[in-house]
Formats: sequence, structure tokens, C-alpha cells
Amino acid sequence: MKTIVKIFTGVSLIGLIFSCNKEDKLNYTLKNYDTFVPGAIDEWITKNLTDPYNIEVVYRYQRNMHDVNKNISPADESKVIPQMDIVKKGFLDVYNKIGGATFIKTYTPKQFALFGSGDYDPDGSVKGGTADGGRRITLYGLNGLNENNPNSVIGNLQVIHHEFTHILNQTRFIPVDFEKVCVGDYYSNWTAQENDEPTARALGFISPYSRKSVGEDFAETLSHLIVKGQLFYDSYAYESGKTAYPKFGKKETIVRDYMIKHFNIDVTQLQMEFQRVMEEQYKSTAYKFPTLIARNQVGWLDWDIRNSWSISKPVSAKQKEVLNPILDGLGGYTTKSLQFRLMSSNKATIYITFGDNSNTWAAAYDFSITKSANDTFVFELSEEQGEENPFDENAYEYAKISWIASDVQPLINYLGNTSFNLDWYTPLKDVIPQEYLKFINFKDSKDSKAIMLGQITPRKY
Amino acid sequence: MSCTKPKEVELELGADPDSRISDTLSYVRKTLVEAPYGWKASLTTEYSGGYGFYMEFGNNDRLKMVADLNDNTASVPKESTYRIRQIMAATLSFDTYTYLTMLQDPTPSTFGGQAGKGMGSDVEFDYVKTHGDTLFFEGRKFQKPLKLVKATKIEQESYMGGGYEEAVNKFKNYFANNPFSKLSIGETQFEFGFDYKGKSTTLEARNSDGSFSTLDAAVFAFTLNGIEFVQGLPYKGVILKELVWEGSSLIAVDKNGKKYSVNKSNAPFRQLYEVIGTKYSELVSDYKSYLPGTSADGLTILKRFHDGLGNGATGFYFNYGYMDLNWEKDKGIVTLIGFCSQNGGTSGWETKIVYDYTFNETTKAFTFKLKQGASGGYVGGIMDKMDSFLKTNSFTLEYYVANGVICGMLRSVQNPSITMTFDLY
Repeated sequence: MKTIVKIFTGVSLIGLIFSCNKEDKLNYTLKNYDTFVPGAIDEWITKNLTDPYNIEVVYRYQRNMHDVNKNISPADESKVIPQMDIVKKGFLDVYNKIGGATFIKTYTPKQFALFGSGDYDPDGSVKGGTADGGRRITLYGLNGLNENNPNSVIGNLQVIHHEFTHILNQTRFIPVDFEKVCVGDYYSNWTAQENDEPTARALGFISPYSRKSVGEDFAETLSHLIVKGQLFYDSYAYESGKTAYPKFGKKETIVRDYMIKHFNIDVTQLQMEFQRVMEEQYKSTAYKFPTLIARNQVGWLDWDIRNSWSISKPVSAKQKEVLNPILDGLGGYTTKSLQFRLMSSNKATIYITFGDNSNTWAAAYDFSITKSANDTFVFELSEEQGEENPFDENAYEYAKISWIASDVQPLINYLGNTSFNLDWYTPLKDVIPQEYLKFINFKDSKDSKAIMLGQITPRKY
Repeated sequence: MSCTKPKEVELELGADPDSRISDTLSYVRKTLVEAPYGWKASLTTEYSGGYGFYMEFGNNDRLKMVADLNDNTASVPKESTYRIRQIMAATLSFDTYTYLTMLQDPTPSTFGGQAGKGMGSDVEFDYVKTHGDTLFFEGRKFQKPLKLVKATKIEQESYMGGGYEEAVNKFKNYFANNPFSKLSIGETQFEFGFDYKGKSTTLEARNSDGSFSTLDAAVFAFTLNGIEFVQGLPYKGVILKELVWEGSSLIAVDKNGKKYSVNKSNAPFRQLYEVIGTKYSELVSDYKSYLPGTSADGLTILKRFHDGLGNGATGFYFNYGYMDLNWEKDKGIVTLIGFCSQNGGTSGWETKIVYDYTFNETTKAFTFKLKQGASGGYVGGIMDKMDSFLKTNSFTLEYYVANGVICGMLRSVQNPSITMTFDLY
């Protein structure tokens, strides 16, 4: 008994000697083995994005950077620099120039994640990009990018600008008025067959996708304005129908006000800079007149040189010569307006309103539009007049009245006998935002002094 | 009692976590990089068969690869990157796009995989174990095996010099010319049915008593020397590993190294007209797929359907479809199914026309009689030429090797200039 007690005490004493008040911590940290040997792509990223803009690019596959339940491909190396070059030129540099360095530092995502394939959803739709938590934009489908095709580049940039809008919306919320424009028409099941493009646009949506939610609508609206441009937006809006047309305008106003108010950014300046980059860097022809005419994006031109817009601009002798017979009055009536309306890619109409203090009538003349191989245009009086008559009933009848027709004849003759080069009155590099996409010259290809100047005028129903 | 700090913290598992991880990571990386002549590899997939590769891993996280997916991938080495990452013990990640990741690509136009799913393959593979010169990995998501075996100098030169494409074509040509070559295991003979898209092969066995049986499909990958049955091909205790060349003949080799002969043959065990409805039950004309052996008159009948899908002839526009002659031998009927889809085939609609049929043992000709006119779906209108043909022509059915694959060719008795070749299912 005694012995056991002694040993027991001894053991406990020994135990005391080897214990301390402090617990020793396991003193090491796990190394990060997720590094890799950098190469040419990483050098490019550091030089062009990380150093100037503090932006990181994760292009090597990481499952935790996409929806882990999905099957998404890694990016092909050959597409990484072209994609990030597009991000830089068509997005970062544009906002840097117009928004300023502080804007860039504050609002642009700090990280881009890149994947080679799209992100396929069970409903069959494929995502091109996501914006995550204000700090990251993820771009999908890189492997399908064709950096030498301006259309592919524009599609790519539309996704980028769309995602960036989500990021802006996270710091400055979408104005409550925006949702009211198309209230009740949002439709989360946007991939359903019944939500096709004609249906969506008739409700005032720039794309079927924008019906998904207010957030998507706002992002689609701003990104289309910047990337597809104002002429696209206005044409799309007008051709979506009488009910839809004003909705597009309202949304545009709210978006523009939002950008000015919160970020002091004029959307027109963004549009101008974007167009400049697309033309200079990617040789886009989207803003050249052959394309604009073919896509029917020019719209209606005001040719009434008595209006104030022409006062500060030189009007050619030829323009006065062919238009004055109309503008100085028709019969005894005052001429109230004179427009050259491009109605479709192959039809234009001279639309004249005239009358007196109590009455206003209209006279309309249809022309076919023909583009020749050297990109000049001829406008010939159509054989069939008034095939479609969107104007008041008698416009084509009054057009035949001799004392009206004879005043219009000089213009008709001139248009039919001349090959015109169409161009902007002021080139993009010199034009001020207030006059951007406003004034068009129809230049006589045989007489450099003969120019028809017109102002694009908003279309009305 | 003073408190002295122990000199070393005793760790239960024998080493700190850091060095345990780094042991496996550096082992895997070192092994991959230091193989002097690169690696031959093969894997299996969830929705398709087996695929073969050759890979060289550089010290700078870059790799080169060729693969048996198509002629281009088999001859043009592609450079991309990799990482050995610490996700599990060591994970080999093919982290930029390469041939192997084409199998994972969810874009159908890349390699024909399902939208959103690809071929059901992985980009990241967890290291499992080593056995001699072989490293075993497992795909993180689909858990399919990836096996790497050290290559020899001669193999490296061949893979990097276009030899893989040559090997694939040599194998395919052999079976294109001798489609009914016979493998012998004991007293049983076998015929192959290669599916080069699905990378698997069926085997039909003729037993010593004259009966026939079908083995489960075995997935395969091409090698420099033939094909490898990536998961083995079992038959009554024998597990075949590969088909390889011995001189100009092919032989099969099992896991133990035992050899089995393959004899060239053009004569099938049984003719197509004998097995239609049993071994094969479908003749399919796939979307705009016009196979050799189809005559000009036959093409007219098929194009009426396939062109009609996309040109609005039905009143609708479809971007995918097929015609399928579906045999039900026990009921003596064949159903002609016209399938149309607007989403590339993910879903769609079927139109069915049903025929009774008889088979003439002397002339070996099939004769159809309409049992039930077109019902369902949207493409009855563009099936009219096919329907009319089947009602007014008796036809024979024979094997036809089209693009190296055993197909079925239908020839009209009354108008022998009308022939059409179909895929056999």
C-alpha cells in the first residue's frame, strides 16, 4: 500500500514538471501551392491591367470561380490576351477617358475571371458573363471570340458593359422610376417561347433578356446605348411600334440622368468614345453610311434650311436652288416642313407639310434607294407611289397637284440624277457631344460644292 | 517547479501537414516532369467511350499534347498549361484549354457532346496511386479514371511526328476493308461493331453450338499500336486488354499477356437481312448525313426530309431531325419515325407512319404495306417521298461499309438505281 502511494505521487510530480501554463501553438502556416510559373500572358496582364488599373485576371481554370454544378471549359490561351485587350480598349480606356481615373479606381471590378465555354443553364440559355459582388466580372465563351471580326467584338463588349452596369447598380441603386416604365411586363421565365423578340420589343424591351428583371433591363438598356449606339437604339425603339416607342425614350432618359447624377458621366461621350475605338481599333463599319442605310438606322432628315439648325452652317447654292421652290410656298400656301425620310433600306420619302393658319396638309413622294458598288447612293422617284401609306390619306393625292408637283420637280430631278456620297457633317474626331449623330451631308459625287445638308430629326407616330 | 519549453512539438502523424502535402505534390510534379519521353494516357468518360493521349509535362507548368479525338488532334501537338494543385492530396489540373478538355466542353459544336454536359469528362484529376511506370488519377467530378504510362523514346518521336494519326487511320482502314474480321477465343468466334464517335465497340459471339450472343460494349482508346480496351473486355474469365499489330495482322492480348488471333474477313456471321429486328432494330438517316452508297435517286428522297426541316416546307423551321426505320420483328411491323427539333436535338417531336412488312426468303426482299398513316409531330409532309418509296418498292438490305463503319444499305428491287445507306442501331 505505502509503495503504491509513493509511486503515484512521484508520477504526478513528474507530470507537473512537464506541463506549462502556456500552450505551445503549432507554429507554421500552410504554404499556398496554387502558384504557377508565369509566362508571356501573365507579363502582358501585369503590364496592361494590373499596373495601370490594379485589375487581376484569373484565366487559369478554377472551379470555385464558376457555378460548381456546371461543366464549363477552361479558356484557350490564345484567346486570353485578345479578350483582355478588348476589355481594356473597349471598356476600361473608354470609362477612364470619360469617367476619369477616380471613377475607374472606385468602380471597376478588381478581378476578371475567364472561361472558354458558355455557362449553360437547364432552360437552354447560355450565359456570356456574370458580375459577382461588385468586385469581379466573369466572362464566358472566350473560345468563341473572333477578335478580328468587329461583330464578334461588339457582342463581346456588350456583355462586358452589361455586367459592369450591374456593378454600378450595386453602389448606386436603380432609380425607382425605371421599373414603372414597363411595370407589370417583367417576366422571369424569359427563355419561354412566347417571349420572342417581337413580343418583348412591342412591350418596350430592348431584348427578350431584359424582361427577366429590372436589373437586367437597366443593364441591357445602358449597354445597348453605349455599344450598339444611339442610331440603333432610336431605330429599334421606333420600329417597335407606337405603344413601345415612348417607353424606350423614357428608359433612356432615366439611364442618362442616373449616369450624370451619380458619376458625372455623359452617356453621349461614352458613345462617341466607344465608336471611335471600334472604328480605329477594330475597323468597324457599323457607323458608316452603307451600313446605316442597310440597317435603316438613319431615320428622318430635316431638310428645311429655314430652321435654326442651319443658320450657323453653310448651305450650298445647289441646296438652295433645289429646295427654295418648295420652301418659298406651294401655290398660295405656306410650306411648314420638309423632310427626307428614310423609310427602309431601299425606300425613302420626301414629306412636305403645308397650309395656312387653319389647315395643314401633306404631300409625299416615294423614292427607291440604290447603292452602287462604290458606296454612292441614288434616289429615284418610284414608279408606284404610295404603295404603303403611313401618312394622312391624301398625301399622295395632293402630291400630284400640278402647282405642288412643279415646285418639287427640281428636287426630284436632282435626286434622281445624282450619285451621292453620304457622310457626317462633322467627323467624329471633331464633333461636340451636342452635335453627335445629328448632321448629315449628301455630297454630289460630281460637284464638290453641291451638298444637301440635313439634321436627323426624332421620328414620331 | 520551473517550466521548460520542450524543444520540439511532437506531432502525431509523423510530419507537419505542410511537408506531407508538399511530399505528394512534389512527388507527382517531379514524376510527371522528369519522365524523359513523356506519357501515354487514356481515360473514360461518362457519356462517351475511351480516349487516348500523349502528354509531355514541362517544368514551367506548360504541357504538350496529342489526342485521338480527330485527325487534327492526333497529328498537331497543342501547347497549354497545367498545375498540380492542393485540392485533395494532389490534383492535376489542365487549367487552360487543350484536347483533353474538349471532352469536358459543354458546347455541342466543339465535339458533339451534349449541351451543358459535353462528353462527361473532367479538367481536374485527383492523384490516386502509382504502380511501376503507371500513374493513376481520377476525375474530380465524374470520377472516371485517367491513367498515365511512361512512354519510350520511339513512342515520343512517333506521337510528336504525326504517328498517332497514322496509327488511327491504319486501324480504321483495316476494319473498313475487313469489317467482319473474326477474333477467336477458344472455340468462340467474335465480330466487332466499332462506334468511332462513341469510342466503344460491341462484340457479337458465335458460340460453338451455333448460337449467337452479344457482349456488353467495351470502351476503347487508340494507341500507337492498335487500340486499348480501357476498362478491359471481359469474356468468361478472360480479360482482353488490347488489339495490337503483329506484323500485318491484328492480335488481341489479355491482361496476362496471352495472345488471341484475329482473322481477316469480309463475310459476316449473318447477313443484315437475317439480323434486322434482332441484333439491329433501327436504320437511321441522321440530320443531313448522306452516307456513301446512297444513289442520286436515294439522295432525293432523303433530302426531301432533311432540307425540308430547315426551309419551312412543313410550315415551321427546325434545326435538327432524323428519319428512323424502327423494326419490330415479332409484330411484323416497321415504324418510320420522323423526328424534328428546334433546339439541336435536345427535345423535339415525332411523326410516325406504321407499315406491316413481309420478307421473301427466296428473293431476300422486304415488302411494306401501309398500316397507319402519318400521325403526331410536324414532319408528315416531308416524309412523303420516303413513305411513297416504301409503299411502292420492295427492297433488299445489305451491309455497307461507309466511312469505315458498318452501315445498312437499302436497294429497291423495282428500281435498282434507288439506294440509301443508313446508320445501324
